[in-house]
Order: sequence, then C-alpha cells, then structure tokens
Amino acid sequence: MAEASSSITEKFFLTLKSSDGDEFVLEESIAIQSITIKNMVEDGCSSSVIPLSKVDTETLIKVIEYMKMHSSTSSNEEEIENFDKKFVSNSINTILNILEAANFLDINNLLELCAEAVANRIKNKTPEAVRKIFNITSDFTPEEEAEIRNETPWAFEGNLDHSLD
Amino acid sequence: MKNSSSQTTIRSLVNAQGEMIHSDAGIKWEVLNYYKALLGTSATVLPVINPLVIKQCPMLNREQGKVNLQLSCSSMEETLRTETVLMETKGEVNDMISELPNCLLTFILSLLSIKDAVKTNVLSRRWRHLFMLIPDLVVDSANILSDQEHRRFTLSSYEAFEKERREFVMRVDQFMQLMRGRHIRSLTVGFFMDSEYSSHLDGWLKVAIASGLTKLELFLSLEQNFLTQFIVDEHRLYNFPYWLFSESNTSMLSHLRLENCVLRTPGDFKGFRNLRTLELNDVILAEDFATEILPSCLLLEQLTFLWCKLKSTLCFDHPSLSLKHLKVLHCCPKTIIKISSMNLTTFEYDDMMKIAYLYAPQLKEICSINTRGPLSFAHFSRLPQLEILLLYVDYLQIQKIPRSLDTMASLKKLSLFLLSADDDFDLSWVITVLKAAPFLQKLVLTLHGGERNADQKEIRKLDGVHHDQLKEFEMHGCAGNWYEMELQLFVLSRASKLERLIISPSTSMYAGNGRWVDIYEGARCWNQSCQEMVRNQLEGHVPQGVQLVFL
Repeated sequence: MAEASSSITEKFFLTLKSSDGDEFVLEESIAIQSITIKNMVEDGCSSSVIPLSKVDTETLIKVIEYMKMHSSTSSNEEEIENFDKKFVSNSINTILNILEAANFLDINNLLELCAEAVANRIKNKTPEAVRKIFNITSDFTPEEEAEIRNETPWAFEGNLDHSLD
Repeated sequence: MKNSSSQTTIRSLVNAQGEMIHSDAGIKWEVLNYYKALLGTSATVLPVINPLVIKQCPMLNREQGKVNLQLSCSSMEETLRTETVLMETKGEVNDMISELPNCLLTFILSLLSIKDAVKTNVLSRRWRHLFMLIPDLVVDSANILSDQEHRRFTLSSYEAFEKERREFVMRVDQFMQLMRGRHIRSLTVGFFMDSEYSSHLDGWLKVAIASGLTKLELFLSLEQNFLTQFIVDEHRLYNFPYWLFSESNTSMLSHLRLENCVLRTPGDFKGFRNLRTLELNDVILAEDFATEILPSCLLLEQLTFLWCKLKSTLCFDHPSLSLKHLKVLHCCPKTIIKISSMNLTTFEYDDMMKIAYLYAPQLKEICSINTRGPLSFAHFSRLPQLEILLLYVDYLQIQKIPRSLDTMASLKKLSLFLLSADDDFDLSWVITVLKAAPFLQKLVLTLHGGERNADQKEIRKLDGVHHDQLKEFEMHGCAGNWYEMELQLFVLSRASKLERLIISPSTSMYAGNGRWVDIYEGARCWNQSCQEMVRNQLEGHVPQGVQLVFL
C-alpha cells in the first residue's frame, strides 16, 4: 500500500507471459483495460510476472497492439477507427483466438469488436459458405438436414451470399 | 461417525458387458481382473479408457487450474462442450469456432438477425440448438423478414403490407414454437399488429411468459410499417392479454412498455406486482388505471404515460416508496395533477396540466414542456431538493413574473426555452430568476427567435445583484440582438465565479421523454458577420479566466 501511494506520477509496468513462455512488458495504465489484469493488480498479484496460460504469443501481441491503440493517451478517433477496421481483417482463426483471449482477459470493447467481425462473416451467407469460412464439418445426414431446413424454410430463403469473404 | 457410515463391502457390481454380479466370488474375480488389466503389460486397449480422448483433452497445470477458476463461463458448460466437440469431430479439421463455449457463441448469434441466427442450426449438431440460447429477442421486420432495408408502406399499398404481415406472423409463429421451453429474458415486438392477429401475439406472449420473461416491449404502432399515419378504430387495436399475468402468480415481469394497444385491467388487478418500469404510449386504459397502478405495483420505480387519455384529475398520492421517475406527457387537456410521493426524484409533465398539489421532498429534477399555464415558481421553491429545472416560457408568462420570487435554495441547473413572437424581447426578467436561485451553477437559455431584428435598441446596463455561484452560462439561438447582448454583458460583469460563456445559434428544444427537436430543419449555423458582431460587442467585457466559446 505504501508503495502504491508514494509515487502516483511514476509509471508502473507489468510483465505479461504468454502460454508459449514469451514475456511482454507493458505500462500498467494500458494493461488494466483488461478487467482480469486490473483485478489481479488490485489484489496485489502483479508484483511478479502475470502468466496468461490461455493466450499464445501471436494472440497476445495482437491484444497488446489493440490495448496500446485504445489507451487514453492516443485519442485520435479516426486513427482508432481505421485501426479497428484493419484489425478485423485478420484471418478468422486469429480473430477467434483474440475473441477467446478478450473474453478471458475481460476486455469488453475488444470482445465486441471480434464478435461483430465473426457475426459479419455469418450474416446473410448460405450455410455452405459459413461452413467453408469456419471449417465446420456437417455431421447431419442429408435427410436430417432437409428436416431441419423444413422447420423454418424462410430462414434459408432470400438472396443469400455464396462468397467466402 | 465417519467410519460407521462408510461402506466396507461390495454387494453387487456391473461388469463391462452390462451384467449384474451378486456373488462374492464373481465380484472378486471382476475386480481383480479389472486391476490386472490396468497393470498388466499385455493390455493395450483398456475397456473403459479411450487413449484418443485422453490425448485430446486439455491438460491443466497448477497455474492454469488457478486461472480457470476466474473464467466467466461456468466450468460445467466447458466440460459439456469439450465432450460434445470430442464426440463430434475426430480432431481432424481445424474448426475453431465450434470449440468456443456456448456463452461466446450465443453472444455472436445475438448480434445477428433472428433469420441469420436460425439459419446456423443446420451447420452441424453443435450448432443445432445454439440460437435457442439467445435470451433477448427482438421480433421486427429487419430481424424476421430480411436484412435488407426496412420496407415502409403507404395506405394505398395496404394489401402488399397485409401479405408481408401474414408472412411475418407465420415466421414468428414457427420461431416461437422452437423457443418453447427455452429461457427468454426479454421480448420486443416491433410490427403493426391489430386485433386480427390477437391469437398469434397472445401465443408468443404465452411462450415468453412461461420462459421466465422479465422484460416485454410491444411497439405495435403504425409507424413501425407505414410512412403515413391513419386512425385505427379502438376495436381494431390489440387488446393486451393482462390475464396471462394474473394466471401465474409468479410473473417475473419487471419491465413493460406498450405502444398502440388497449390495456383494460380490472381495478383489483395484481398481476403486475413485480413491475419496476411501466411505459404506456398511446394506450387506451381503464378509467382509473393511472390512480390504481401505484397501489397494485409497489415496486414500480418508473412510470410514464405518453399520449394516453387520462382522467381530468390525476392523483399520485399513494404512499409508494419506490416511485422515483414520473412522466405524464401529451395525455389530456386540462388535467389537474396531485402528487404526493416520498421518493420521487424526477418529474416530467407538459403544458396542459395544472399542478394542484406537489409534495415530493426528494424531487431533484423537473422538466416542464410547453408550459402555457401560469409558471409555478411557488411550487418549485417548496421543493427542498430541487437541483435541475427545465422550463418552457412564453411572452405572456414573462409579463406575469413578479418582481421577486421565492428562493429555490438547491437549484444548480436551470434550462429555459423561450417561445416568443414578440420582437421587442426584454430578457431582464432572467435576473429576477437568477436572484431567486442563489446557488445556481449553470444557466442555459434557448431562444426561439434566431433572427436578428432590423430594429435594434440601445444596450442598457442592467441592474441586479451579484451572483457568486454561477459557473456556466449558455445562450442558444443567439442572433446578436440587443436584448441578448444585454444579458450576456450582465452575466459577464456580475457573475464573479463565471468560468465559461457558451454562445450558439442552435434552436434545439427538449421535446420530452429524452427527445430533442430542432424547430428549424437541420442544425443552424453561425452567420459569419453575426458572430463577429457578437464578438466585437463582448470585447473588453470578458474577465480574465472566463472562457468564451462559440459553438
């Protein structure tokens, strides 16, 4: 407690360790956009390295990139908007990894951004296209699938998009 | 104690073939052979352990075990998910999305239209029932019919609308059938529905209520689907089935918003007793509904009546301790209102109402829209906690403001909207109001005029006391008229704590229930010469430390 109150203006740094064992040093003010990390800091568990055993190095780099851009010091709205746009154009598996990490780290904005990006790849697509985009293998027999489609035929009607982007 | 209740014998056992073994020898043989198989070198495949499954399972170390406790998704769900995934995919394809926990997948699905969400049920078994876990349902054109732009009809294309409505109802019928028995936290219906479709809408509500519904919104007005307004006979309006709520004594409904329907609850109706928010917009009500609602909904915190025909005298004098926010707007000409409410904190009302009695010791905020009756400053000064006041004032009322007003001792923010047709517009009465609000910190004045008059009077030096609390003064709808400058100069010279003077040409007015409207189409911009003139006139009068802002 004494340590925390003695140097309010001083910058604090945290070390985050990915599941691959790589360590990243990050300003505390940036890292606490993650509520999970914020709680750990408040509970005094941040003195040593914070192990993020659910987040691999590649994903953690992306998450840190995002947190740096969205930290209050760089406040150019247009810049942030462009960054977000570019961010969601990452490959779908990268997005899914970040989504899970954002859920684990409790970074709400990032979670919403990724979920929106995933939803946009489902929106108005044919089920076949969605399966290809996400590598989903159907385990229904053709008869079973026909039966399901028949429950709500309208959901499969209309001008659906076959493209895979 | 512990020892005496523990089992020391095995009386029966089921072997790998599913047979029940009761004999002592049989049990002994089975147990010994099982462990032999486990220990023995010859056993490559164990009957109860699938090495593939073991290999694919996520492995935990001590650190991860700790972290896992903090996961927001329940571990139970996680386990179930892992099992399903393992059963379904044999670990060949990299289908990451299907491995996500239900809570994340449901979150993603809730960002899609219902049509898109339902469509995912055919992807694979993992996805078969996921959309049914979406707890908040919005049933409207965009969500049910298509993702394309919301179509709006005119009266002449009523037949085309009728066709679309039949399709809409059929789809929602099927969808709600699938949702039966699932958890539905909230349901919003946004479609023009009338009595013709009562049985369908009733059916959707039945499913939702049986599924633990806590929030219900029915926006059934024509505006949902039509470009033009036309009048619908009362007998054609949807009759809200309040009886569905009285049947189950355990109705959890806490939030109800109704638009364009009939709600005729009997006087002793107790079905809404868990309601916390009630908003009725253009709803036909039982005659005494407004007075009977408080005694029957003791938890009610927010009560809003918009465009409802209410009785000419309204009494909110039930000693409800919950009611905090009351809005009565556009309801009935010449309504007399009596309020006696211990914990009421905000109150919004409109022009036609006359407040006969107002006892609300906790009232902090009053918005009065379009007032044409006499200004009730006397009421306001009797409210010890009143901090925020928003008033419409017109020229006739200004003339009736006495030279001195009772003190409004807690008032911190005052917004005045001035409606005046008169060119010769004197603002010196504002000083009288300022005097009655010695602790005011922010004054916002919006003038309706917005034009600079050709005929300008000489700017007087207004007389009045000093004000030592006012920090911010905003004047909107400013056009550089003499009376505007007069008041600005007065505030600059007499408000010793002033920090900011904000001047803008905008004439945006508060229309009630959180809505703002601009009297002129689009936002008004500064006329460059006008802004310069205002600047010139203020030059030399802005004390140091006061920020002058032109919006």
